[in-house]
Amino acid sequence: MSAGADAIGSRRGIQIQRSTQRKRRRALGSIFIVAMLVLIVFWTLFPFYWSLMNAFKQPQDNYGNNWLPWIQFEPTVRPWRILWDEREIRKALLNSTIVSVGAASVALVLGTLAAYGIARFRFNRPRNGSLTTWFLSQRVLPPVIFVTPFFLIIRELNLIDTVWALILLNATFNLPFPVIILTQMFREIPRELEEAAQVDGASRLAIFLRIAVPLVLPGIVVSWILCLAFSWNEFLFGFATTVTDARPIPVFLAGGDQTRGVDFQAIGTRMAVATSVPLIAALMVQRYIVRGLSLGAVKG
Amino acid sequence: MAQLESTGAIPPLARIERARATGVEATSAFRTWAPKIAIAAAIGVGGILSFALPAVELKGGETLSIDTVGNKLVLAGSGWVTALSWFAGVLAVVAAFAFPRSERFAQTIAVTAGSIIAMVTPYYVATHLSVIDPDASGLGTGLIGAWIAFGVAAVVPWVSVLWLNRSQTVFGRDWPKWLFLLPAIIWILALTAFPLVYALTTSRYAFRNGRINRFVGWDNYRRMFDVDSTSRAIGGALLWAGIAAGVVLVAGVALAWLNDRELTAADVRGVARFIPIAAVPAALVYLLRTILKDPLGEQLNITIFFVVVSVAIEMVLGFLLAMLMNRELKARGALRAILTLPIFATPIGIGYLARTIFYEEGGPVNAFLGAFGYKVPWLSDPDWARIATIIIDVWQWTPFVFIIALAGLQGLPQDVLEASEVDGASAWQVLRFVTLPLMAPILWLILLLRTIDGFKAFDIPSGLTLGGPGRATEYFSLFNYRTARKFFNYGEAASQAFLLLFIVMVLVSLLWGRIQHVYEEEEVKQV
Repeated sequence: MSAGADAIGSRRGIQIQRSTQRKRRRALGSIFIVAMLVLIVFWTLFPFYWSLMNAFKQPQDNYGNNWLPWIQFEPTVRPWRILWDEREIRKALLNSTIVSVGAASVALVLGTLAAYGIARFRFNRPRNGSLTTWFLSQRVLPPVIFVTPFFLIIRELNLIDTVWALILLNATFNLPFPVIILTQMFREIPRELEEAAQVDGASRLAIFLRIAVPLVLPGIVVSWILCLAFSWNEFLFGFATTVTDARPIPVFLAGGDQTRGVDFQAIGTRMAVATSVPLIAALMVQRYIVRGLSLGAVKG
Repeated sequence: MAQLESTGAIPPLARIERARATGVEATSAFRTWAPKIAIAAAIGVGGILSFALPAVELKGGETLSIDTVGNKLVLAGSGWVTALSWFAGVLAVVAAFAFPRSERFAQTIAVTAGSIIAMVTPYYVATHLSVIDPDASGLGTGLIGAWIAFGVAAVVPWVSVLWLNRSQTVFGRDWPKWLFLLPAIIWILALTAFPLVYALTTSRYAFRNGRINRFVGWDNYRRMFDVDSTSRAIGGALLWAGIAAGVVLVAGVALAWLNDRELTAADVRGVARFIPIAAVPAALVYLLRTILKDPLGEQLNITIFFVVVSVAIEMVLGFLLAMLMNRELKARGALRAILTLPIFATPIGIGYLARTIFYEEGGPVNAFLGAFGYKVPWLSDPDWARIATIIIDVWQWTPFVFIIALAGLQGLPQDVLEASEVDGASAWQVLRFVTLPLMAPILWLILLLRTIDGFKAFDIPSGLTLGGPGRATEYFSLFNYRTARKFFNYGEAASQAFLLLFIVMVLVSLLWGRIQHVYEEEEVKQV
């Protein structure tokens, strides 16, 4: 008994000694960490900053050490006026909005249903795990494989250069995100609520719509926003299947540039317009990002 | 609603009751297997008939075989018809055998739908006879036979469910669960699985100006490979696999011995599990580098370089950063928010923006370096252009590694970490023996995702360098895309894409065992 108490006492002594050492180390460490933090924040934000600066410069200020507005160069809103006068960007913004809202909604409806099925029911063969894996396999397939078949199919369906084609494609490639996020969220709902409703004679569909879906509404919103952001940023299929009418923002961003060389101002303004939507979306769903991006490996 | 019943062991009586209700035990081997075999036989007979007998009758009494008809369909731009028939037929047969009796609803639906969709070829040919041949007078016996056989296959599962294996509940008690899954499954089959099959069809044709030109068999694949170097490539690949395995074994055993000055069988087994992860990629890289013809081989080389370097940097930086931030920090939430921004920045826009950042005459990076007397040819020199793409990739995706690794670190059991600290383990020992082993599955997962996404790199190089200078940054996806869309060689592009799919599959299967259990939570426990 006393031997045990001694051991605890000496261990406590060591702990006290160690904690003073630790304090000193921690002070040094915190300086290091703050320095790292500043560096990381600078490194991460610099491209956004540069894009904004480009958007407020005169062309002659593009080159050399022109980093700070008013001090090193005189800002101007001319690039924004030029952007505003372009009819195409409004069309592109409209297209991108239709495509990303449409694709996110389709993916969400399909994904919510599938997620509820996987989370609540037992499948014998294929098992629930295999079903999840099957949906996740979408996430690892390289999209470039689908360029050729999709192009030929879409040409056959007469959907080239329409937003419908892009809605189809983006919904397909974003389907894993709602499935991943919502499967976990549905599992977290206490089963008793649904059992109670079942006892009251509610149908499966009613239980799903009236009880399960409202409880995971945050997850549904998050998945929708994630899908929206990814569809908005999608470039490959937009590039492959559109010509003029259905050009989404990323293709517009790429297309305008090729015709007139490197136009810093155009890149700056377009970049700001194009990126603002997914960035705002990202900040809104920041807490759930881990789950969505990582095959749901870790809860975020 | 059986699936919502409480969990737990089923008492024997209840089990018998349930068996009676679903009719599981009332089946014999004959009743189980007869429908499956009948479905397979019907679809098989349909397939054989369509190949053995004439497919289309011509007016003069002559006939066309299914090969000719299929070819003409593909040349007319309707290759999806035959591809769809194949796809649906195979799907129906697989569904017949894959599903157990308890999932007979899904089985019935899949077999019926597959068989009906497989009828698309006879139907399409019958309605588009003039496309096949101006002289065509009607369907041949082969396609009519196939039509009937597929129809039989569509009916057999219903015969089984309603008569041969009938029970009180036609589809079992919880069949509506499939209604939740079916929309998504059908969507993916139609828009992912079928396009892959269709890509396989197109990869066997030569294209000219975006139009299918003629059937070339496996030539598109053969043209990718330098067949003469096969034996050399395989020999070298085996050698490299051996070297990699040896290095891993020696290094791993040495490390294991250094840890505790003793070597157990468990140590060796632990090391041995790493051998395939090193040996298979080593062999694969050597094999592909030797056997692939340029430019494909060259573009794959630079892609592998890009992927290995950028992923290595991202993993190390991201994990270090996560370790650094895994403590009480007031700014952690804000920092995480800032670090999510690059992941969501429109990648093609970042590519173009990077072009202005790396602009050689007076861009910000060179202006900054100019103060120290350096000037880097970021975009005109092949090596620097590759480095520029890697820097942007690192910029965009290190946060991804960071955020997931940080979430993983925060999810670690704190008591284990504290216990090891109290026991006097040094920071390094905690990292090496506690944190890393616990984090391993998540780190493997990030590695897999990042590696695969690396092979997908398309937006950044096409924005930053347009694949240039020359083809220095034309990574595989971009190269493949250009084969398809710039040179309109869809056949070759499809065959190259299958090479990429093969590489991705190898990577996934190598690492899958390590990450599978991370997210595949325990099966839904219910009756």
